[in-house]
Amino acid sequence: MASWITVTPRLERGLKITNQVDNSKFRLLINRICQTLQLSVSTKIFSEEEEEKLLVSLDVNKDDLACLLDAIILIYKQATCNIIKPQLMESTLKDTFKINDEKVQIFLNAWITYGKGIIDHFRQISIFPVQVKDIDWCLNIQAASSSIKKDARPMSLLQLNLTGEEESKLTVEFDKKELIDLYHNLEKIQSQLDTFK
Amino acid sequence: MTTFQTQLLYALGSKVKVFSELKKVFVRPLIQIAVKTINQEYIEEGILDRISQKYNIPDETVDEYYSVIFTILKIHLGTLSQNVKPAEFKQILEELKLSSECIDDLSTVVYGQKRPELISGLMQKTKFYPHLIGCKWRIDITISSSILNRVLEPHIIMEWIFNNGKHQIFELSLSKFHQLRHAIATILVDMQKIEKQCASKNILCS
Repeated sequence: MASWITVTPRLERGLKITNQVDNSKFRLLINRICQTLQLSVSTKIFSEEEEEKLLVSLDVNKDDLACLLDAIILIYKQATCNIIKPQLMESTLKDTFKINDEKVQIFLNAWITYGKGIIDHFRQISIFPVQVKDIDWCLNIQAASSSIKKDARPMSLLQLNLTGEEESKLTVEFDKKELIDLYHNLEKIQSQLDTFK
Repeated sequence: MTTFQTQLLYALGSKVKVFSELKKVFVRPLIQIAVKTINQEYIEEGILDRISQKYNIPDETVDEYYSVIFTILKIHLGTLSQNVKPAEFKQILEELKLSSECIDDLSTVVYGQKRPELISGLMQKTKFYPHLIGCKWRIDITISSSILNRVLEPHIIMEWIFNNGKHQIFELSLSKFHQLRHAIATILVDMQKIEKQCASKNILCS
């Protein structure tokens, strides 16, 4: 009994289907799934159109395909969640799920290749509602205005691109003193972060 | 003629005639109101009416006096790069027949300790973007999550409070935090370069 994954009839059925699939096609399928998991957890891995093609290429029915994909994705998500070693994956696939050696090897190779990337990606995922996605800035010289003629005051605009329930941009203007104040705050945060290392 | 003088005469037009009528007793409170206006401070309602009653000057005349005082201050502070020297300022106003007492009062304001405050007061009017007035932060280290048993990744949550009364809470991943810190440091370095260049070309930074 593996502690990192719960055996369900559906998972068993999905993994049983792997044994029917051609090895080279299976390798491509697994690699594609792992590459996608490195970039995004939430998006659907295959489009409707791609799934239609998979039905033909893997020679399975629609139900079986869904079952197969779910099983593979679950294996890698659970492997990631528990940060398991390749040896553990190998023994579970062999002993618990009775998958043939070649397929086990394909599962393992992909985990060795993509595992770290997927774990790193999962580690970055945050459910905080508003996150900074990107930072843009510019440095301007306020050269003149309706109240002051021929000024020369450096001013900077900082734009935080936020994601969340809706994307938004936060644009803030800073003069030198305000920038220094902010920088001191960031330095305080940095020094706290350093103490965790 | 200096730029200051040209601009002043142009802005005042026929109002220069009233210079000789201006007296210290009521010019002083008028200067105080003008300073408050520039600094966008609270001004009591009907204050000009009370000055009008107290010194027995017609309403319209007080308005005109006030506009003259305000214009002198605004133009003087607004032409900061072609700084008018105190002696020159005095001379220009003397030529317009302003009493020396009033000139002294005006000089104290534009050349005294209040100057930086007044200039930043003028600046306020063209601050179109929000400015940061407060910043709170917190570091959270995620221990585990629904998709990963052992995360151990710090996140920075910040709340920025702005001068327009608004505030925004957002989260920065460690890499975004570094990006922000790097951006701020880069801007500061660039800003210092600009200030040096301005100083070497004798351009005054307000």
